[in-house]
Amino acid sequence: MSEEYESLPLEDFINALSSQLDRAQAALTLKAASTHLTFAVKELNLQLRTQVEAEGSVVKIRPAAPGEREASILNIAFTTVTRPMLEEHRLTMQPAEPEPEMEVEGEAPAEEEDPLKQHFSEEERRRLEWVGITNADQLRRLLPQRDPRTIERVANIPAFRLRQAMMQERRPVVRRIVRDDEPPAPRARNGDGEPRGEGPADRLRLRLEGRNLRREAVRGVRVDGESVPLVHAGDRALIVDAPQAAGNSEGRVDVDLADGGSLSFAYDPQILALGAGITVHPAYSGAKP
Amino acid sequence: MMRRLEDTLLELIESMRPRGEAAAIVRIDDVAFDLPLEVAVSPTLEILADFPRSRWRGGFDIAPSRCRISVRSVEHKS
Repeated sequence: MSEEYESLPLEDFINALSSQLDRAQAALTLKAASTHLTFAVKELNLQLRTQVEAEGSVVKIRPAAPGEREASILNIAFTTVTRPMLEEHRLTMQPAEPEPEMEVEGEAPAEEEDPLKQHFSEEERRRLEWVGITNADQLRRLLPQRDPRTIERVANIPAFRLRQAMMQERRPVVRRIVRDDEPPAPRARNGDGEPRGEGPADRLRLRLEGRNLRREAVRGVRVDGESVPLVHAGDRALIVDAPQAAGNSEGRVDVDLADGGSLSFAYDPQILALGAGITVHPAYSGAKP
Repeated sequence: MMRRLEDTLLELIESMRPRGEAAAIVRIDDVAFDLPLEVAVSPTLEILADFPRSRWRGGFDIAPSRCRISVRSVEHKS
């Protein structure tokens, strides 16, 4: 980690300082798990030797470099914020209700790279951290609740790029298909107690794993062209009852999305029959005009 | 190589935690530090801060800033 003597806007310095103090406090709290006693930072006062300059309306500072004995001294004081103070100033945020996820048997899906890395540089991610966005989930949830212009100003990232990244992160994704061992629902019976229509023996339960697969994002699923009953639609998995014949035929799934588009992919039914999960790369067909 | 500000602060604060037999009989409620710190900014916009490397200042050393920090112990409810 190399030091640098570039100047940066004063507000960026304060944001970075605040964010790094938060990290220090979080680490102290984690360490307290065994002792039940931790230290909390009460006050921090930094007398920073710095060069102060102005570029237009932006006040910039640069920590004093070696040999700069006549630098200015900037006093920055942080103090404890009480809960009432915090509540008075914080923006209203309604975190999404976490959905209990079902256990997935068999091969665990590969660890995904942090999606924020796909959209933003390391410096941009650091700036997003200053506004409380540290992962893709927070981007999805918090961006619609905050004024994009504020985030644009603090994070110095154009609002259209933030929106673009958020839209991509909110799009339904299917990454894996696996045969689900949970037995399908029992068949309905007619008045004589005889099974009616197709039953458990005729159905093959499939689990499609990915993200953003909630019911409001998915209109339906077709297996080999036939619409199949949706048993479960959660953030990370769709469960459908496909016809048993799907285990022998070509193996094609279309997930019809609420935006009018669809995710389509093919799979090998013989591999599925062995109980192994199959990683898939669906093609997205856009919404019909 | 300078460390990140939070790493330096953590080391400083954790150094005050009683260890061994002392942990059973000593509890530190309040600590205040007042110390020199060399401060710089990394290219990825992280604040680097570390203790001066030497008591003797040469022409290639950063003029140290000053940091006062006070901490108190709190019960952690898990």
